[in-house]
Amino acid sequence: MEKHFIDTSVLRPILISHPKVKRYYKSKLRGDKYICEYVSMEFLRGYIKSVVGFYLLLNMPQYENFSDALYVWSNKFAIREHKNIEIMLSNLFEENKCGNDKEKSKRILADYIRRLIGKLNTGFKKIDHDNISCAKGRIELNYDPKNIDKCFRVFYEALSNNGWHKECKINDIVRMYEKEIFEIIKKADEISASHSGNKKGFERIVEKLKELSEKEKMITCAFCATLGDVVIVLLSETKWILEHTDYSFNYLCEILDKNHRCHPNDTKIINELIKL
Amino acid sequence: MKNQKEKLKENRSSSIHENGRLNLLESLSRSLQHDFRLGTIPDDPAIITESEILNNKIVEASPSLFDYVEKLPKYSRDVFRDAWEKRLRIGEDELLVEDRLSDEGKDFLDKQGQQEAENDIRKYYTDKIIVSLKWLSFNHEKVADSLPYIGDLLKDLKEYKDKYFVHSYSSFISALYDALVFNDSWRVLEKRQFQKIYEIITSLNAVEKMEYKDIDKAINDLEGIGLDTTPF
Repeated sequence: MEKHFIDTSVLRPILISHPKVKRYYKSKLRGDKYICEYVSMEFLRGYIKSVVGFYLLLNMPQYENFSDALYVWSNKFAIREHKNIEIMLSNLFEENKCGNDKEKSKRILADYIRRLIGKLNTGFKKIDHDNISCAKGRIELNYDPKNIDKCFRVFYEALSNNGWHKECKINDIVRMYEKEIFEIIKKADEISASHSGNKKGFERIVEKLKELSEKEKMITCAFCATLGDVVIVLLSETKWILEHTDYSFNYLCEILDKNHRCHPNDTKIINELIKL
Repeated sequence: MKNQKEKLKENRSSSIHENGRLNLLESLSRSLQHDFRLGTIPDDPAIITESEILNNKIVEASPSLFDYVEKLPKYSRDVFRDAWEKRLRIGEDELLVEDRLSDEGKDFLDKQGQQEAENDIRKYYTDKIIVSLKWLSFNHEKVADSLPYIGDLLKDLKEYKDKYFVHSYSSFISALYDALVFNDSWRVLEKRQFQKIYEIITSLNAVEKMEYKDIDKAINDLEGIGLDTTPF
Protein backbone atom coordinates (compact mmCIF):
# COMPACT_ATOMS: atom_id res chain seq x y z
CA MET A 1 0.00 0.00 0.00
CA GLU A 2 1.24 3.49 -0.87
CA LYS A 3 2.46 5.79 1.86
CA HIS A 4 1.57 9.43 1.41
CA PHE A 5 3.59 12.14 3.06
CA ILE A 6 1.21 15.07 3.21
CA ASP A 7 2.41 18.64 2.75
CA THR A 8 0.42 21.46 4.36
CA SER A 9 -0.88 22.55 0.95
CA VAL A 10 -2.69 19.20 0.71
CA LEU A 11 -3.48 18.79 4.40
CA ARG A 12 -5.66 21.91 4.42
CA PRO A 13 -7.98 20.82 1.57
CA ILE A 14 -8.21 17.30 3.04
CA LEU A 15 -9.59 18.85 6.22
CA ILE A 16 -11.32 21.99 4.96
CA SER A 17 -12.43 22.44 1.40
CA HIS A 18 -15.31 22.03 -1.00
CA PRO A 19 -16.82 18.50 -0.85
CA LYS A 20 -15.66 17.86 -4.43
CA VAL A 21 -12.06 18.67 -3.52
CA LYS A 22 -12.28 16.34 -0.54
CA ARG A 23 -13.62 13.60 -2.78
CA TYR A 24 -10.71 14.16 -5.17
CA TYR A 25 -8.15 13.68 -2.40
CA LYS A 26 -10.00 10.69 -1.00
CA SER A 27 -9.72 9.00 -4.37
CA LYS A 28 -6.03 9.89 -4.78
CA LEU A 29 -4.78 9.13 -1.29
CA ARG A 30 -5.89 5.61 -0.53
CA GLY A 31 -2.89 4.51 1.51
CA ASP A 32 -1.64 5.61 4.91
CA LYS A 33 -1.33 9.36 5.31
CA TYR A 34 1.67 10.68 7.22
CA ILE A 35 2.53 14.12 8.48
CA CYS A 36 5.40 15.56 10.52
CA GLU A 37 5.35 18.10 13.37
CA TYR A 38 6.41 20.78 10.92
CA VAL A 39 3.30 20.24 8.78
CA SER A 40 1.15 20.29 11.93
CA MET A 41 2.77 23.59 12.84
CA GLU A 42 2.14 25.09 9.42
CA PHE A 43 -1.53 24.12 9.64
CA LEU A 44 -1.87 25.44 13.19
CA ARG A 45 -0.02 28.65 12.35
CA GLY A 46 -1.63 29.24 8.95
CA TYR A 47 -5.21 28.17 9.50
CA ILE A 48 -6.13 27.32 13.08
CA LYS A 49 -4.47 30.41 14.53
CA SER A 50 -6.51 32.60 12.18
CA VAL A 51 -9.77 30.90 13.14
CA VAL A 52 -8.95 31.15 16.85
CA GLY A 53 -8.08 34.82 16.18
CA PHE A 54 -11.56 35.25 14.75
CA TYR A 55 -13.08 33.59 17.83
CA LEU A 56 -11.19 36.00 20.11
CA LEU A 57 -12.33 38.94 17.99
CA LEU A 58 -15.94 37.76 18.15
CA ASN A 59 -15.53 37.50 21.90
CA MET A 60 -14.78 41.22 22.18
CA PRO A 61 -17.69 43.14 23.69
CA GLN A 62 -17.79 45.81 20.97
CA TYR A 63 -18.85 43.27 18.35
CA GLU A 64 -22.48 42.34 18.71
CA ASN A 65 -22.63 39.45 16.30
CA PHE A 66 -20.87 37.31 13.72
CA SER A 67 -21.38 39.80 10.86
CA ASP A 68 -19.75 42.68 12.77
CA ALA A 69 -16.73 40.60 13.69
CA LEU A 70 -16.40 39.13 10.20
CA TYR A 71 -16.46 42.58 8.62
CA VAL A 72 -13.59 43.78 10.80
CA TRP A 73 -11.69 40.52 10.48
CA SER A 74 -11.88 40.28 6.67
CA ASN A 75 -10.59 43.82 6.26
CA LYS A 76 -7.71 43.05 8.54
CA PHE A 77 -6.69 39.83 6.81
CA ALA A 78 -7.49 40.11 3.13
CA ILE A 79 -5.28 37.27 2.00
CA ARG A 80 -6.13 34.25 -0.10
CA GLU A 81 -6.08 31.66 2.68
CA HIS A 82 -8.68 33.58 4.65
CA LYS A 83 -11.26 33.19 1.91
CA ASN A 84 -11.42 29.53 2.91
CA ILE A 85 -12.02 30.55 6.49
CA GLU A 86 -14.77 33.00 5.56
CA ILE A 87 -16.57 30.33 3.58
CA MET A 88 -16.21 27.89 6.46
CA LEU A 89 -17.54 30.39 9.01
CA SER A 90 -20.52 31.34 6.86
CA ASN A 91 -21.50 27.72 6.23
CA LEU A 92 -20.96 26.72 9.85
CA PHE A 93 -23.09 29.52 11.30
CA GLU A 94 -25.77 29.24 8.66
CA GLU A 95 -26.16 25.48 8.99
CA ASN A 96 -26.32 25.76 12.77
CA LYS A 97 -28.81 28.62 12.53
CA CYS A 98 -26.75 30.97 14.70
CA GLY A 99 -28.32 34.13 13.24
CA ASN A 100 -27.20 37.06 15.35
CA ASP A 101 -26.76 34.97 18.48
CA LYS A 102 -23.19 35.77 19.44
CA GLU A 103 -22.91 33.27 22.28
CA LYS A 104 -24.22 30.42 20.15
CA SER A 105 -21.85 31.38 17.33
CA LYS A 106 -18.93 31.30 19.76
CA ARG A 107 -19.91 27.89 21.12
CA ILE A 108 -20.36 26.36 17.68
CA LEU A 109 -17.07 27.79 16.42
CA ALA A 110 -15.13 26.70 19.50
CA ASP A 111 -16.33 23.14 19.13
CA TYR A 112 -15.51 23.14 15.42
CA ILE A 113 -11.97 24.38 16.04
CA ARG A 114 -11.47 21.67 18.65
CA ARG A 115 -12.74 19.09 16.20
CA LEU A 116 -10.37 20.24 13.46
CA ILE A 117 -7.41 19.98 15.80
CA GLY A 118 -8.65 16.55 16.91
CA LYS A 119 -8.79 15.43 13.28
CA LEU A 120 -5.28 16.72 12.72
CA ASN A 121 -4.06 14.65 15.64
CA THR A 122 -5.96 11.44 14.96
CA GLY A 123 -6.54 11.37 11.21
CA PHE A 124 -2.88 11.22 10.22
CA LYS A 125 0.07 9.12 11.31
CA LYS A 126 3.11 10.91 12.61
CA ILE A 127 6.41 9.96 10.98
CA ASP A 128 8.93 8.06 13.14
CA HIS A 129 12.03 9.85 11.91
CA ASP A 130 11.12 13.46 12.63
CA ASN A 131 14.66 14.87 12.92
CA ILE A 132 13.44 18.45 13.19
CA SER A 133 10.62 17.81 15.66
CA CYS A 134 9.13 21.30 15.43
CA ALA A 135 8.20 22.44 18.94
CA LYS A 136 5.47 24.79 17.76
CA GLY A 137 3.82 21.88 15.97
CA ARG A 138 3.49 20.10 19.29
CA ILE A 139 1.48 22.85 20.98
CA GLU A 140 -1.70 21.36 22.36
CA LEU A 141 -5.06 22.96 22.88
CA ASN A 142 -6.12 22.15 26.42
CA TYR A 143 -9.79 22.44 25.67
CA ASP A 144 -12.17 23.18 28.49
CA PRO A 145 -15.72 23.83 27.34
CA LYS A 146 -16.42 25.66 30.59
CA ASN A 147 -13.57 28.08 30.05
CA ILE A 148 -13.17 28.41 26.31
CA ASP A 149 -12.08 32.03 26.18
CA LYS A 150 -9.13 31.40 28.44
CA CYS A 151 -7.96 28.19 26.75
CA PHE A 152 -8.12 29.81 23.31
CA ARG A 153 -6.23 32.87 24.54
CA VAL A 154 -3.45 30.68 25.93
CA PHE A 155 -3.35 28.62 22.73
CA TYR A 156 -3.26 31.71 20.52
CA GLU A 157 -0.45 33.26 22.53
CA ALA A 158 1.55 30.05 22.31
CA LEU A 159 1.12 29.97 18.52
CA SER A 160 2.12 33.63 18.29
CA ASN A 161 5.31 33.08 20.25
CA ASN A 162 8.31 32.97 17.93
CA GLY A 163 10.73 31.57 20.48
CA TRP A 164 9.92 27.90 19.95
CA HIS A 165 13.04 27.38 17.81
CA LYS A 166 15.00 27.07 21.05
CA GLU A 167 13.12 23.89 21.84
CA CYS A 168 13.37 22.06 18.52
CA LYS A 169 16.16 20.81 16.30
CA ILE A 170 15.79 23.23 13.41
CA ASN A 171 19.17 24.77 14.19
CA ASP A 172 20.83 21.41 13.52
CA ILE A 173 19.39 21.23 10.01
CA VAL A 174 22.62 22.28 8.25
CA ARG A 175 24.68 19.78 10.23
CA MET A 176 22.15 16.95 9.76
CA TYR A 177 21.45 17.54 6.08
CA GLU A 178 24.67 19.21 4.90
CA LYS A 179 25.01 16.95 1.85
CA GLU A 180 21.42 17.49 0.70
CA ILE A 181 21.54 21.26 1.22
CA PHE A 182 24.79 21.48 -0.71
CA GLU A 183 23.21 19.45 -3.51
CA ILE A 184 20.20 21.79 -3.71
CA ILE A 185 22.40 24.88 -3.91
CA LYS A 186 24.69 23.26 -6.47
CA LYS A 187 21.97 22.09 -8.83
CA ALA A 188 19.58 25.02 -8.38
CA ASP A 189 20.61 26.96 -11.49
CA GLU A 190 20.70 23.88 -13.68
CA ILE A 191 17.23 22.73 -12.59
CA SER A 192 15.82 26.22 -12.80
CA ALA A 193 17.02 26.61 -16.37
CA SER A 194 15.53 23.29 -17.48
CA HIS A 195 11.98 24.05 -16.26
CA SER A 196 9.58 26.67 -17.47
CA GLY A 197 7.13 26.68 -14.50
CA ASN A 198 6.86 29.11 -11.60
CA LYS A 199 10.23 29.24 -9.84
CA LYS A 200 9.88 32.19 -7.46
CA GLY A 201 9.30 30.06 -4.34
CA PHE A 202 12.15 27.73 -5.18
CA GLU A 203 14.58 30.58 -5.86
CA ARG A 204 13.68 32.20 -2.53
CA ILE A 205 14.40 28.94 -0.72
CA VAL A 206 17.77 28.54 -2.45
CA GLU A 207 18.73 32.08 -1.41
CA LYS A 208 17.92 31.29 2.22
CA LEU A 209 19.90 28.04 2.06
CA LYS A 210 22.90 29.91 0.67
CA GLU A 211 22.60 32.38 3.54
CA LEU A 212 22.64 29.51 6.00
CA SER A 213 25.55 27.67 4.45
CA GLU A 214 27.73 30.78 4.11
CA LYS A 215 27.64 31.97 7.70
CA GLU A 216 26.36 30.58 10.95
CA LYS A 217 22.93 31.99 11.60
CA MET A 218 20.32 31.41 14.29
CA ILE A 219 17.21 29.97 12.67
CA THR A 220 14.29 31.62 14.44
CA CYS A 221 10.66 30.64 13.89
CA ALA A 222 10.33 33.60 11.51
CA PHE A 223 13.34 32.52 9.42
CA CYS A 224 12.24 28.91 9.58
CA ALA A 225 8.95 29.87 7.91
CA THR A 226 10.92 30.65 4.73
CA LEU A 227 12.47 27.16 4.73
CA GLY A 228 9.23 25.19 5.11
CA ASP A 229 9.30 23.28 1.83
CA VAL A 230 12.94 22.23 2.31
CA VAL A 231 12.25 20.89 5.80
CA ILE A 232 9.33 18.85 4.49
CA VAL A 233 11.29 17.44 1.53
CA LEU A 234 14.21 16.50 3.76
CA LEU A 235 11.88 14.62 6.12
CA SER A 236 10.14 12.73 3.32
CA GLU A 237 11.24 9.10 2.90
CA THR A 238 12.47 8.24 -0.57
CA LYS A 239 9.87 5.52 -1.11
CA TRP A 240 6.94 7.62 0.06
CA ILE A 241 4.98 9.97 -2.15
CA LEU A 242 5.21 13.58 -1.08
CA GLU A 243 1.78 15.02 -1.86
CA HIS A 244 1.74 18.77 -2.50
CA THR A 245 0.40 21.59 -4.64
CA ASP A 246 3.42 23.93 -4.50
CA TYR A 247 5.78 24.16 -7.49
CA SER A 248 8.94 24.48 -5.39
CA PHE A 249 8.57 20.82 -4.39
CA ASN A 250 8.90 19.80 -8.04
CA TYR A 251 12.44 21.20 -8.12
CA LEU A 252 13.46 20.14 -4.63
CA CYS A 253 12.21 16.57 -5.11
CA GLU A 254 13.92 16.27 -8.48
CA ILE A 255 17.27 17.35 -7.03
CA LEU A 256 17.01 15.03 -4.03
CA ASP A 257 15.41 12.21 -6.01
CA LYS A 258 12.28 11.98 -3.86
CA ASN A 259 8.96 10.60 -4.98
CA HIS A 260 6.30 13.29 -5.18
CA ARG A 261 3.02 14.25 -6.78
CA CYS A 262 1.90 17.80 -7.55
CA HIS A 263 -1.89 18.17 -7.26
CA PRO A 264 -3.91 20.91 -8.93
CA ASN A 265 -5.26 23.71 -6.75
CA ASP A 266 -8.83 23.62 -5.39
CA THR A 267 -10.33 25.73 -8.18
CA LYS A 268 -8.78 23.59 -10.87
CA ILE A 269 -10.02 20.40 -9.20
CA ILE A 270 -13.57 21.73 -9.02
CA ASN A 271 -13.50 22.96 -12.62
CA GLU A 272 -12.08 19.67 -13.89
CA LEU A 273 -14.72 17.68 -12.00
CA ILE A 274 -17.50 19.88 -13.35
CA LYS A 275 -16.30 19.20 -16.90
CA LEU A 276 -16.43 15.41 -16.39
CA MET B 1 -43.46 -0.73 13.93
CA LYS B 2 -44.51 2.52 15.56
CA ASN B 3 -45.93 0.59 18.55
CA GLN B 4 -42.67 -1.20 18.99
CA LYS B 5 -40.84 2.11 19.13
CA GLU B 6 -43.25 3.58 21.64
CA LYS B 7 -42.80 0.50 23.76
CA LEU B 8 -39.04 0.93 23.72
CA LYS B 9 -39.44 4.54 24.77
CA GLU B 10 -41.75 3.58 27.63
CA ASN B 11 -39.36 0.89 28.84
CA ARG B 12 -36.48 3.28 28.76
CA SER B 13 -38.39 5.97 30.57
CA SER B 14 -39.64 3.66 33.30
CA SER B 15 -36.22 2.14 33.83
CA ILE B 16 -34.75 5.58 34.45
CA HIS B 17 -37.43 6.61 36.90
CA GLU B 18 -38.00 3.40 38.76
CA ASN B 19 -34.75 1.49 38.66
CA GLY B 20 -32.57 4.53 38.56
CA ARG B 21 -33.81 7.33 40.73
CA LEU B 22 -36.05 5.57 43.21
CA ASN B 23 -33.52 2.86 43.97
CA LEU B 24 -30.90 5.48 44.51
CA LEU B 25 -33.16 7.41 46.82
CA GLU B 26 -33.90 4.31 48.80
CA SER B 27 -30.29 3.28 49.01
CA LEU B 28 -29.25 6.75 50.09
CA SER B 29 -31.94 6.81 52.72
CA ARG B 30 -30.60 3.51 53.97
CA SER B 31 -26.98 4.56 53.89
CA LEU B 32 -27.66 7.83 55.68
CA GLN B 33 -30.28 6.25 57.95
CA HIS B 34 -32.57 9.10 57.28
CA ASP B 35 -35.97 9.62 55.63
CA PHE B 36 -35.79 12.37 53.12
CA ARG B 37 -38.73 14.51 52.30
CA LEU B 38 -39.14 14.21 48.59
CA GLY B 39 -41.00 16.50 46.28
CA THR B 40 -41.53 15.88 42.58
CA ILE B 41 -38.45 14.55 40.91
CA PRO B 42 -37.79 16.68 37.83
CA ASP B 43 -37.43 14.88 34.50
CA ASP B 44 -34.12 16.48 33.79
CA PRO B 45 -31.46 15.84 36.42
CA ALA B 46 -29.46 18.80 35.16
CA ILE B 47 -32.11 21.12 36.58
CA ILE B 48 -30.80 20.40 40.05
CA THR B 49 -27.31 21.32 41.01
CA GLU B 50 -25.58 20.07 44.10
CA SER B 51 -25.01 23.54 45.45
CA GLU B 52 -28.74 24.23 45.16
CA ILE B 53 -29.45 21.17 47.23
CA LEU B 54 -26.76 21.96 49.73
CA ASN B 55 -27.96 25.51 49.97
CA ASN B 56 -31.50 24.37 50.59
CA LYS B 57 -32.99 26.24 47.68
CA ILE B 58 -34.96 23.15 46.70
CA VAL B 59 -36.36 20.23 48.62
CA GLU B 60 -35.89 17.63 45.91
CA ALA B 61 -32.55 15.94 45.47
CA SER B 62 -31.01 14.51 42.36
CA PRO B 63 -30.31 10.79 42.11
CA SER B 64 -26.82 11.62 40.93
CA LEU B 65 -26.21 13.45 44.20
CA PHE B 66 -27.37 10.45 46.16
CA ASP B 67 -25.32 8.15 44.04
CA TYR B 68 -22.08 9.92 44.74
CA VAL B 69 -22.85 10.51 48.41
CA GLU B 70 -23.14 6.78 48.66
CA LYS B 71 -19.64 6.39 47.30
CA LEU B 72 -18.09 8.99 49.58
CA PRO B 73 -15.75 8.04 52.40
CA LYS B 74 -17.43 7.56 55.76
CA TYR B 75 -16.28 10.90 57.12
CA SER B 76 -17.85 12.83 54.23
CA ARG B 77 -21.05 10.82 54.50
CA ASP B 78 -21.24 11.73 58.17
CA VAL B 79 -20.83 15.41 57.33
CA PHE B 80 -23.62 15.07 54.84
CA ARG B 81 -25.92 13.20 57.16
CA ASP B 82 -25.39 15.69 59.96
CA ALA B 83 -25.99 18.58 57.64
CA TRP B 84 -29.19 17.09 56.27
CA GLU B 85 -30.49 16.32 59.73
CA LYS B 86 -29.66 19.75 61.04
CA ARG B 87 -31.21 21.38 58.02
CA LEU B 88 -34.47 19.52 58.43
CA ARG B 89 -34.51 20.29 62.11
CA ILE B 90 -33.87 23.98 61.82
CA GLY B 91 -35.66 24.84 58.62
CA GLU B 92 -35.14 25.20 54.92
CA ASP B 93 -34.01 28.77 54.73
CA GLU B 94 -30.68 28.45 56.44
CA LEU B 95 -27.51 27.54 54.61
CA LEU B 96 -26.03 24.91 56.79
CA VAL B 97 -23.87 22.65 54.69
CA GLU B 98 -21.81 25.52 53.30
CA ASP B 99 -20.80 26.34 56.85
CA ARG B 100 -19.66 22.83 57.51
CA LEU B 101 -17.72 22.04 54.35
CA SER B 102 -14.35 23.46 53.40
CA ASP B 103 -13.93 25.09 49.98
CA GLU B 104 -12.04 22.04 48.81
CA GLY B 105 -14.84 19.80 50.03
CA LYS B 106 -17.48 21.87 48.26
CA ASP B 107 -15.45 21.92 45.07
CA PHE B 108 -14.97 18.16 45.25
CA LEU B 109 -18.65 17.50 45.82
CA ASP B 110 -19.62 19.91 43.10
CA LYS B 111 -17.35 18.30 40.52
CA GLN B 112 -18.44 14.81 41.52
CA GLY B 113 -22.07 15.78 41.26
CA GLN B 114 -21.65 17.47 37.91
CA GLN B 115 -19.89 14.42 36.52
CA GLU B 116 -22.64 12.14 37.76
CA ALA B 117 -25.34 14.36 36.32
CA GLU B 118 -23.43 14.55 33.02
CA ASN B 119 -23.26 10.75 32.87
CA ASP B 120 -27.00 10.44 33.57
CA ILE B 121 -27.89 12.89 30.82
CA ARG B 122 -25.46 11.30 28.39
CA LYS B 123 -26.98 7.90 29.04
CA TYR B 124 -30.51 9.23 28.67
CA TYR B 125 -29.81 10.75 25.25
CA THR B 126 -27.58 7.93 24.06
CA ASP B 127 -30.37 5.46 24.80
CA LYS B 128 -32.76 7.56 22.72
CA ILE B 129 -30.25 7.87 19.87
CA ILE B 130 -29.56 4.15 19.96
CA VAL B 131 -33.26 3.30 19.62
CA SER B 132 -33.35 5.18 16.30
CA LEU B 133 -29.99 3.82 15.13
CA LYS B 134 -30.96 0.25 15.93
CA TRP B 135 -34.09 0.53 13.85
CA LEU B 136 -32.18 2.11 10.97
CA SER B 137 -29.42 -0.52 11.21
CA PHE B 138 -31.90 -3.32 10.66
CA ASN B 139 -34.62 -1.77 8.55
CA HIS B 140 -33.33 1.18 6.55
CA GLU B 141 -33.96 0.72 2.84
CA LYS B 142 -35.86 3.70 1.53
CA VAL B 143 -35.49 7.18 2.99
CA ALA B 144 -39.25 7.72 2.92
CA ASP B 145 -39.88 4.73 5.21
CA SER B 146 -37.07 5.68 7.59
CA LEU B 147 -37.92 9.35 7.90
CA PRO B 148 -39.54 9.19 11.38
CA TYR B 149 -36.44 7.47 12.79
CA ILE B 150 -33.96 9.72 10.99
CA GLY B 151 -36.03 12.69 12.17
CA ASP B 152 -35.88 11.46 15.78
CA LEU B 153 -32.17 10.79 15.50
CA LEU B 154 -31.41 14.30 14.21
CA LYS B 155 -33.74 15.88 16.77
CA ASP B 156 -32.08 14.07 19.69
CA LEU B 157 -28.58 14.88 18.44
CA LYS B 158 -29.47 18.54 18.01
CA GLU B 159 -31.18 18.76 21.38
CA TYR B 160 -28.20 17.28 23.19
CA LYS B 161 -25.58 19.40 21.45
CA ASP B 162 -27.61 22.60 21.93
CA LYS B 163 -28.51 21.98 25.57
CA TYR B 164 -25.39 20.34 26.91
CA PHE B 165 -22.62 22.08 25.06
CA VAL B 166 -20.33 22.02 28.09
CA HIS B 167 -20.37 18.22 28.22
CA SER B 168 -17.38 16.77 26.41
CA TYR B 169 -19.62 14.13 24.79
CA SER B 170 -21.37 16.92 22.92
CA SER B 171 -18.19 17.31 20.81
CA PHE B 172 -18.85 13.87 19.36
CA ILE B 173 -22.59 14.48 19.00
CA SER B 174 -22.03 17.78 17.11
CA ALA B 175 -19.54 16.10 14.78
CA LEU B 176 -22.08 13.39 13.97
CA TYR B 177 -24.87 15.94 13.59
CA ASP B 178 -22.84 18.17 11.24
CA ALA B 179 -21.80 15.16 9.16
CA LEU B 180 -25.43 14.09 8.78
CA VAL B 181 -27.09 17.42 8.09
CA PHE B 182 -24.63 19.17 5.77
CA ASN B 183 -26.01 18.86 2.23
CA ASP B 184 -28.57 16.43 3.74
CA SER B 185 -25.94 13.69 3.79
CA TRP B 186 -28.30 11.49 5.82
CA ARG B 187 -30.25 10.95 2.61
CA VAL B 188 -27.46 8.91 1.04
CA LEU B 189 -26.45 6.83 4.05
CA GLU B 190 -26.83 3.09 3.81
CA LYS B 191 -28.01 0.59 6.36
CA ARG B 192 -24.46 -0.60 7.05
CA GLN B 193 -23.36 2.96 7.81
CA PHE B 194 -26.12 3.37 10.39
CA GLN B 195 -24.96 0.05 11.86
CA LYS B 196 -21.40 1.39 12.07
CA ILE B 197 -22.55 4.63 13.72
CA TYR B 198 -24.41 2.51 16.26
CA GLU B 199 -21.23 0.51 16.94
CA ILE B 200 -19.09 3.66 17.25
CA ILE B 201 -21.49 5.26 19.73
CA THR B 202 -21.77 2.07 21.73
CA SER B 203 -18.02 1.60 22.01
CA LEU B 204 -17.47 5.27 22.87
CA ASN B 205 -19.98 4.98 25.69
CA ALA B 206 -18.28 1.84 26.95
CA VAL B 207 -15.20 3.91 27.80
CA GLU B 208 -15.13 4.28 31.56
CA LYS B 209 -13.83 7.83 31.76
CA MET B 210 -14.46 9.50 28.44
CA GLU B 211 -11.78 11.97 27.40
CA TYR B 212 -11.33 14.11 24.31
CA LYS B 213 -8.85 11.63 22.86
CA ASP B 214 -11.60 8.96 22.95
CA ILE B 215 -14.00 11.38 21.31
CA ASP B 216 -11.46 12.24 18.61
CA LYS B 217 -10.92 8.57 17.93
CA ALA B 218 -14.68 8.05 17.58
CA ILE B 219 -14.89 11.07 15.23
CA ASN B 220 -12.06 9.58 13.21
CA ASP B 221 -14.03 6.31 13.05
CA LEU B 222 -17.00 8.25 11.65
CA GLU B 223 -14.69 9.55 8.94
CA GLY B 224 -13.61 5.98 8.31
CA ILE B 225 -17.16 4.99 7.35
CA GLY B 226 -17.43 7.82 4.86
CA LEU B 227 -18.89 10.65 6.95
CA ASP B 228 -17.36 14.10 6.68
CA THR B 229 -17.30 15.56 10.17
CA THR B 230 -15.81 18.91 9.11
CA PRO B 231 -17.99 19.62 6.08
CA PHE B 232 -18.05 23.44 6.31
